[in-house]
Amino acid sequence: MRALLLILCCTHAALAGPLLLPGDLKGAAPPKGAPPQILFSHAQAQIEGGVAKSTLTETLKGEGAFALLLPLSPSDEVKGCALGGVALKGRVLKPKAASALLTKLGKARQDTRLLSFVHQRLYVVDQLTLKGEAILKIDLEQPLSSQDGFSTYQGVMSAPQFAQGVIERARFTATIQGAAPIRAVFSDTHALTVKRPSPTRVEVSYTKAGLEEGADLRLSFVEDADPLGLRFLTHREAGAPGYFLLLGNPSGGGDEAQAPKKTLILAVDASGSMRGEKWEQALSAMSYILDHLGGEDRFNVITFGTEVRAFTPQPQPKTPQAIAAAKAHLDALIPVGRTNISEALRVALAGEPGDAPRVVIFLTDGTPTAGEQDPKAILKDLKAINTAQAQVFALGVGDDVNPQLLDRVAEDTGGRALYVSEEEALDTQIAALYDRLSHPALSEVKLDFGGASVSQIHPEALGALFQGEDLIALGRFEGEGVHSVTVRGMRGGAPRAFTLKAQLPKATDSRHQFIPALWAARRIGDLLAKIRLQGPEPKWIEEVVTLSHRYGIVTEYTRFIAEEEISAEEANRRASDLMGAARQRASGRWAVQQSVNEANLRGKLSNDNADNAYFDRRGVRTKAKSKIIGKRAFYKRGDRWVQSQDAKNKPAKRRVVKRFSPEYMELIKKDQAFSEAQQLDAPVTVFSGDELIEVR
Amino acid sequence: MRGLIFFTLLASLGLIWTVSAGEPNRINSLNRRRPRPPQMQLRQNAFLGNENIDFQQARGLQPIASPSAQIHAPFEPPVTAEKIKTAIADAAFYLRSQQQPDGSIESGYVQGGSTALATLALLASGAHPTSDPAAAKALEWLLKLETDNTYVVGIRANVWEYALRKAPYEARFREALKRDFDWLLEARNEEGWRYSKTSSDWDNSCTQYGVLGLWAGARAGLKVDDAVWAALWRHFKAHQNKDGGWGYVHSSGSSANMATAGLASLFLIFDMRHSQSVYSRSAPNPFTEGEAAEVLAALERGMRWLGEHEGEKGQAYYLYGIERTGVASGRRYFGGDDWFAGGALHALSSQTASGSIPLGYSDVIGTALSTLFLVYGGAPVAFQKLEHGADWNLNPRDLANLTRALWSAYERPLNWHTVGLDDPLEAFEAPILLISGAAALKLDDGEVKRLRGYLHKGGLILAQPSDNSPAFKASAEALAARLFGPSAPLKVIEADHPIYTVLKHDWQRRPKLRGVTEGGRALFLIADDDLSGAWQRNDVEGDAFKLAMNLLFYATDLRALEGRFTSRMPRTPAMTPKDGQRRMARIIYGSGSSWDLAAAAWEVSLAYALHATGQRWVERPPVRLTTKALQGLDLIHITGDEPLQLSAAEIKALTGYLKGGGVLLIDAFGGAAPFAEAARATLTRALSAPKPLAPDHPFTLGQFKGGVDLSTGLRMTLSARRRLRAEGRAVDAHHLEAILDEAGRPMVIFSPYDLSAARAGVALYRGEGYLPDAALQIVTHALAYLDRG
Repeated sequence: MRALLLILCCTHAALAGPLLLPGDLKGAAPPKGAPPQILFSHAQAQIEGGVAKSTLTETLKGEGAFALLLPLSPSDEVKGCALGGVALKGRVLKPKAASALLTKLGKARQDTRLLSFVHQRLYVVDQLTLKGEAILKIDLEQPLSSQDGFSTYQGVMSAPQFAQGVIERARFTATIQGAAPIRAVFSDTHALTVKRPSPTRVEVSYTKAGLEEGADLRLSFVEDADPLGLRFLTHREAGAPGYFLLLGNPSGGGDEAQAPKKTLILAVDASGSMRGEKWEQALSAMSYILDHLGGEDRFNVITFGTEVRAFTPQPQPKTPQAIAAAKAHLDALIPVGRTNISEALRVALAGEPGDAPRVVIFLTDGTPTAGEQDPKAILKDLKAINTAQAQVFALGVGDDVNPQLLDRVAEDTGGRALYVSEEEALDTQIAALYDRLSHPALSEVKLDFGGASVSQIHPEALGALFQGEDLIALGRFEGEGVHSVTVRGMRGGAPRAFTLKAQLPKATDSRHQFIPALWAARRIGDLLAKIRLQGPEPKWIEEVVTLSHRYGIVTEYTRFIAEEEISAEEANRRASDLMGAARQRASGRWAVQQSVNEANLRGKLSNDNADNAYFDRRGVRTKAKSKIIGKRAFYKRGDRWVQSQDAKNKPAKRRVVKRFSPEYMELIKKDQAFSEAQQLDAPVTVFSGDELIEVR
Repeated sequence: MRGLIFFTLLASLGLIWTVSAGEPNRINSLNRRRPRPPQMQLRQNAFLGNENIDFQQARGLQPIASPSAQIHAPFEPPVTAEKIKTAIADAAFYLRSQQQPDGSIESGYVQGGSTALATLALLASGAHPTSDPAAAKALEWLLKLETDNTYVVGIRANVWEYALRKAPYEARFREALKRDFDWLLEARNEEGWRYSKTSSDWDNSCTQYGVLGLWAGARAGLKVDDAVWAALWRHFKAHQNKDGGWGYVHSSGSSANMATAGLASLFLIFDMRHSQSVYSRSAPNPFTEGEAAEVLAALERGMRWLGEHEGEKGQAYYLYGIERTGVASGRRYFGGDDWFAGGALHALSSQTASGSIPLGYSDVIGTALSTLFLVYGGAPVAFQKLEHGADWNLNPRDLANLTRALWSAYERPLNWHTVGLDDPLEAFEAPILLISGAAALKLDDGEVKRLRGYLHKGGLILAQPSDNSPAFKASAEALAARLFGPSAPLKVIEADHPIYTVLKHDWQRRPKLRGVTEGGRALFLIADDDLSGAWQRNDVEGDAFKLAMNLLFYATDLRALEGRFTSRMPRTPAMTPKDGQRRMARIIYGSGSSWDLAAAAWEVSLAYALHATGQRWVERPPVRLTTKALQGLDLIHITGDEPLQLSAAEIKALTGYLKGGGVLLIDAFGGAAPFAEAARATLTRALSAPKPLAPDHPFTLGQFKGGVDLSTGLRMTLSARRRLRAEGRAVDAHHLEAILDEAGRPMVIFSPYDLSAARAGVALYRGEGYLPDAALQIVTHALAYLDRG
């Protein structure tokens, strides 16, 4: 593994554009007229050879004359700009000239949001005219910032906050064509969907309906012939432990030519409640799985109602006759009776550990109502009955399951739990799960940080890594220097190890400001899971409240933080009470949503404000009333946005600054983070250094 | 009356006052039975998990439900199934929030009454008696409660019965039910019940809850001596007023609340007393003579009274009463008033921000009663029975017994309705319509047309001859000819037909069916045997019940049944209608009826499109493919399930129309492969081969009003997903193909997967296509694309 040297990545908070301002760029008086509507937006990019060819298409609706401003990254080049198919003439302003123009416009229009772009270059079209609907198209060529196979692309996205209304549908699609296999792909600004049609080609997409606020999209990826493509990113502020993000991805070819063999046990609930569509969907999924077993795989099918039935006493090899017989066996079954989870687990986990790992897909739509019904007793026996050392992937269908039980079964066996609502297609979810499981890249994954002083690593246990999945670990570090970081695991029964040299910076390193919030989200998710499954430890609750507040990550139990200023003690007490009420629900929709929310936090890869949400007890997606700009969290207090403060960042001084005053403009000029905070839609109270500035 | 009810509820405590709705503080402040220490108060407030909890207040002695607690958003009409579901969930949440640490959910009334009602409501809303902590705790508390109150015992008996349905292995529930059951038998006097065992008189309010309790025991298998039911029948008979209603006590005037008490009780009594009576040609009068006839007549008079006197929908006691009456009777209307629609509107409009629905009572009791109303009254209608002629209802309790038995298969309540031929088509809402009788059916052309309309929107008709009546069978065959044409064959439904195999059973003697199949589904069936008799006799283990279950699963493609007021319309606000209109028409081709399978699709679709885009589309009458007939049409639609064959002249007219700017939408009904293959071949010969649209084509991108993202989130049927998965294709994206004109605009939009059955409401068993929501979105997307020019 080559030593990692990181270059400066784009560090500013993602600010969107283009902006269409009513009027022209000359007048000093505020213009009349409203900005146009952006009905639809589609940002596309083809990324290859270190360059992105991007196009932003917006369907606009408006009347009148407008000026177009498009903030640019240092090396972006505008290749074309057209409205309704007619080319527009524009010019590029360097940061100094752009700053002057934006300051003038901001003052004239009394709009501090324009000042959030002052540190950037600006593409300007002095005037364009809209009559009704028209399509605006901007073509760009954008070199990526790359170092040592780690590349970052900053995609221009629409800015509905400068337009009227919301964007009905905003999309981003990109293809990445690499010379080497493409490993980790992620965005810290938007929750992307990633598809991998081939080892060297990736397709990413993002869609949002009703977009209210836009932010430029930052897409990072690793091209590396190395099987994991490990990278180690850091963030550190002076005088404090740093944060790291370790990432890798086994996809993209390499030595994974053949999936290792496994023993697959399908344990499927066949109680009366499964009758009907659920059973049909489960049958369809099981048929798919049986058809896609690996050549050397062994399998068995266990169905459980009140009684438990195994298709064969022992797992058997995959042969056409065995598959046909298993399908016929399932087709003949009639779901009936209660749900004997304890006995089903005992049968599924029994046996000797063989030369192939045992994977159990355990599907149920209910709680234990036959056999041992006490979840605590079931869990107590779990280790003892798991003589086959199986990993259990538990699928809970609907709201009547016991997530506390299923989560613990999964966790205690190194597997995972997944929940499928009644409205979702169970067969699709099971098939997708199996597709991942059937291509394990590495099992028993462990991290070795050598001599580095690291702590609070999430996830605490990595378990297994599958093809197509990212290996992501976040944590804290102290000290400095270069250390060897090794990922160890098993593949095909043989130990494997992947090492990279990780640089722990001594001083401030703010190239990856997104890392702390990502770490915090995962830590919160882990702590909430512990509280739910193990009990409400006060120190865990306190930490959840503190992190939630500091990073603006809203949970169901801390949402009040975004709405009112209360003391830490009061916040802890409320959170504790809410968690207590939630914890009482062992089954039902609320119980399932708790598990889903925790899983979402633990899998968070972006600080997308639109993604800062949780599912409430009814399964309704509830958005946070906080904003995250860069690494700062802001809460609405009255008519202003206030940056979060806690014991760690108590201001040394406070100052009131009038907007557009000389002091204000000085802050804008000198403090990029301060200027970026002006993009909020109300006056802000924000730190500049250790001083808290209240802008009026 | 309301005050009197409260009076009677509280009389046993020796506390006599009247309380009106909206005074929870007064109730709690008068609740001297259970003072609450401040710490417990704080804990309870904290359990709410609500926003805006007033924690300062919580430190003092305050009501459990803080008035400022907000978990429920205000209701905005109209009533929809989704809003009912939310209302139930929030009401259940409210009830949980009122639970004390000891498990009780009391509200200052007769001890145990609130908890029993609240527990019943929680169970009905989906809580499991053993794995749901709140329900389990409440049940534990009820197990320990000693009471001498008829209301409490009657309701509690229902709690045990319900709990046993989900947890039949819990012996303690069974023992508790037996105790309450025995108590009720002992407490009953010659007329009925009053408040306690020591009461010697009666009132109809206590009596109805006594009947409910006994009935719970009977449902769970406890034996009620027939003499008891007989005595109860005598009581309700004797005290039915001349106007048909019932009063509270002897010689009281009729009231809506007591009318529902009498009616709901009489239905139960009838079912208990006459469960073995069944119509036969040799004994045709089990329900037209003797006591059974008297009971039915009393019920009829009572329902007529109810239809003529509006009940207090704003009162939870009435709502629970009308619900039990409505559900038992199968009536959707009383006096022209849809009792559930009116009651649901009241309940939803009254629901407070805390989730409670007081409706004239304490928050807990009102909420519990309202929840039961919403759960049972809003349950999906699985079967409807057609009112026709004089002998439409020879076995009057057949469907009531059937739907009750099918609850367990669906694990949720199901309802049945009667429906008349002069009811609007919207009232024909169940997947299966039962037409039963002994004499020959006599329907005029308009009535036959109404039935045809029902079939078009996905219904299945089951004609069953009471006691195998040959006259009825012959007339049913004649009806088939009128519905489907004289050449439509009535074929035997073979043993391997999905109707018999969708759920596997060990048939004792598989009931024989003959039927007409159209559009890939058997939609008109004639039973060779009398099914209604078995349903009437409650022969739940018998083949008739198994067949009914299978029919229901078959007719719905195993999908979950939808509750009342399920809406397919978009959830976004309706667009302002634009000026002007566009025109579309379905195309007639061939000589069969395959072209007509989507008759019901466009009414739904165009209403959806109007809502989503504001554009008015008008469906013109179906036309053949001629140049003249196609003039003025912006869109034409072809669908079917048989191979599409067009003549040369038709193809010429079609190509002329398309080249002139028209658009053809063509889909395979139910995903029928013969149609899809033939259509593809025809289009290829006439124009060019349809091809998948490019991902960046404006049509695919959908960046216009009414457009959707076609690349993801489009739900398809299980059968479609199975096929697509086997082919390695996306299971949630569109699979449309198109033929583009010279400007790159789709002039033909072709879907080998169904878009029509779904929109029409036809749940085609093993059909391959889009689910209704996705189908509506895709077609609206296509219409919106056309609209942008």
